[in-house]
Amino acid sequence: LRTDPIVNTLLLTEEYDNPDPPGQLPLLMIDDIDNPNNPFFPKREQYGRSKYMRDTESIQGKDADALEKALDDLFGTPANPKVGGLDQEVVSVLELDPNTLREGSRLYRLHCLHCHGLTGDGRGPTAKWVHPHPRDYRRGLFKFQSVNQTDGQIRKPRREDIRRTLKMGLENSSMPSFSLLTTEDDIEKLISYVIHLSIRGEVEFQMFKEYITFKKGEYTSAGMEEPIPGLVPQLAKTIAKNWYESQGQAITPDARPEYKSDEERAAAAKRGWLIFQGKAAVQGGATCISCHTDFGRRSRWKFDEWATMVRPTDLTAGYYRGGRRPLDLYYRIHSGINGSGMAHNGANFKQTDEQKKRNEHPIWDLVSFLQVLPYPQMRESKTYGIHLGN
Amino acid sequence: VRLWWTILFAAVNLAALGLFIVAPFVGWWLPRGESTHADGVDDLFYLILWITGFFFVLTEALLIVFMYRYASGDNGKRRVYTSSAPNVYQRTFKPLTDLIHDQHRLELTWTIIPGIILLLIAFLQVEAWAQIKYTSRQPKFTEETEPLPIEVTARQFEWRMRYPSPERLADIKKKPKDAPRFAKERHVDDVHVVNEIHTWKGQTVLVYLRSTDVIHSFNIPHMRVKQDSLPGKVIPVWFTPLRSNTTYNEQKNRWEDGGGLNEKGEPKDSHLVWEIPCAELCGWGHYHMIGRVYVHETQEDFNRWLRAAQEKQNASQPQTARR
Repeated sequence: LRTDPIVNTLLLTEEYDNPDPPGQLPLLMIDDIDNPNNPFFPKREQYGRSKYMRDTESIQGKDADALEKALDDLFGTPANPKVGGLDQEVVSVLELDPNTLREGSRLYRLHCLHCHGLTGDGRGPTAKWVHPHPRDYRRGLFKFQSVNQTDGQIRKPRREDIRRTLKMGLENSSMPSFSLLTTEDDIEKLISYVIHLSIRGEVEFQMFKEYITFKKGEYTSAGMEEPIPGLVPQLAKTIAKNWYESQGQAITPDARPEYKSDEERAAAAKRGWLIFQGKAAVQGGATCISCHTDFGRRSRWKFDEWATMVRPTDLTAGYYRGGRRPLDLYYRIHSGINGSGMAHNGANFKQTDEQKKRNEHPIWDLVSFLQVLPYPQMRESKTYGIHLGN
Repeated sequence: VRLWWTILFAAVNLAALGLFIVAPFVGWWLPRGESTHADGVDDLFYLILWITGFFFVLTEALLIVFMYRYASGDNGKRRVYTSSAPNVYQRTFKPLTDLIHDQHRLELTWTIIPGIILLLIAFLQVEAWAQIKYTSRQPKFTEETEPLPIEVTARQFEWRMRYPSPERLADIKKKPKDAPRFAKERHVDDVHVVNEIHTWKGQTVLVYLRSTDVIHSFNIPHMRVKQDSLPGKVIPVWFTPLRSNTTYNEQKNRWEDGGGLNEKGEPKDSHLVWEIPCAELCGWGHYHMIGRVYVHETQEDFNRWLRAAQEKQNASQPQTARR
């Protein structure tokens, strides 16, 4: 059972100038906030055991035993992992059969555990020392994915997306590429195990979230013991179904307009530049530059859904964690980055018929702009005619 | 020293010597050299190994002999030869012991001879060292020869490679003087690859080595290359592979090193897998930091790979192929 608090990050919208120092996970452990070295120590009253966090340790005694037993019954142990109670179809599509999971678990403990932790909590022994901090799968959110989320529903990633992350690594983070360290088959098994951990973690997360109540200044979980054995498999089934359904929900990108000359390419980048600043007539509210301040060079630190500190990326640096293919940039703009505050824009940036005639497309224009942005010699060249003065 | 310490000491030394002698026959030795400067480095290595090996065995043997000779008994006193009269050993070694005491000439000798040996090694190593490290020997971009420039950026915990695009490579050929700009500036058309160095047989690779966080060490044992990367510095490293190790697998639609991969995905010939481990403990995931060198048979093969990598990077539609 998890002992770290569930942090309600929706309420933590403040911005900061500095990230957490090395060796610290700022708000992840409730005990950490009582440590005077923690940068949030002065705010401990505000962030402490109040509405911002739910102290998972407040589930005690019979309730805790019942939950632990229900989880173990359904998901097994690291040595014998399984996901019980699912349809055959779901198991085969997500490759969650016990043999694959057992092998996946072994490989996970070999390669991933020291950062991502035994339960996938992103709190392995080495996790504190790398920045950005390793992903906590238990939240059920994955950042870089190609699943259509423009209807506002948050979906799970496809196996393909996790495969890409494992194979290519995440540039400029501490997630390395595993394509030379493991075989293709091993990567498939690891994907299965990550899905397993994520389902287990999310069931646990939801159970805590739904059934801890705040009464008379204290958290309590009274009366959970009874319904737990029934609720856990039900939740697992729903979550697994989400995973299953996402597999077929890939974004189908519109074709990129063909640029016949450098001038056309430059014009596309320039249109993207205007959209970025919110100066172009596009439906929808937020502009890119309102978060990516000064094209990301001066964006400020905020909390994400996992209660780690992140900031909108510096788009002039030329690093793209989710991949540098135009396709990857399209995915990010289209469906956002889950959990990070990067919104989906696919619905706002739909290509109109008029734009189609003119060979324009808002997302692809933005992509063209982003591709030029990190290279001073390009954005200042006459062909591109873009000056990013202020 | 008690006698059993002497025996233990001798046993450990003998075991070490035994392992050392056995090592080359069971594959615990240097991998085969695959670059043009490998022979120079190896010759030097073996020369130093023989010299130090000889003196090591000699001094250890003498040490053990004397330890045995003067080992103490259970009463803490000398185990043997307690009488003051010279015994058979003392008589035998007398010429030697006489020589050793207050013999300045002898002391000078054993100072000067190692001095000469060190000086000799110092001169002999100049060429090998110059070949791989002197900036004056750094491969130049000229009309006749141009090295393949690759920027390698070390980061916890992987190597990120940046190649010039095929178009830019052609430009470099036309205007060799502009080539060093590649290291200074990133370009929109660069090809980014993770953990893989590609080149072709006989082509010199010029690596611009960077680090974004801590000190790493760029090490290719097969090429006899090792160079620390320091944050804030761009360090040139170069080598020329002599053999190729990469072939195209038409069925799987991918390039494979190690003379091709078998069905399990393991290389058929492990001597043809040339890894790039990080040789400086760089953090928790240090052991994850392993790249590979792929040496193609011909330049055409390399160009084909580079084009494919470029196309993959410029993808604007999802691909179905897995790799």
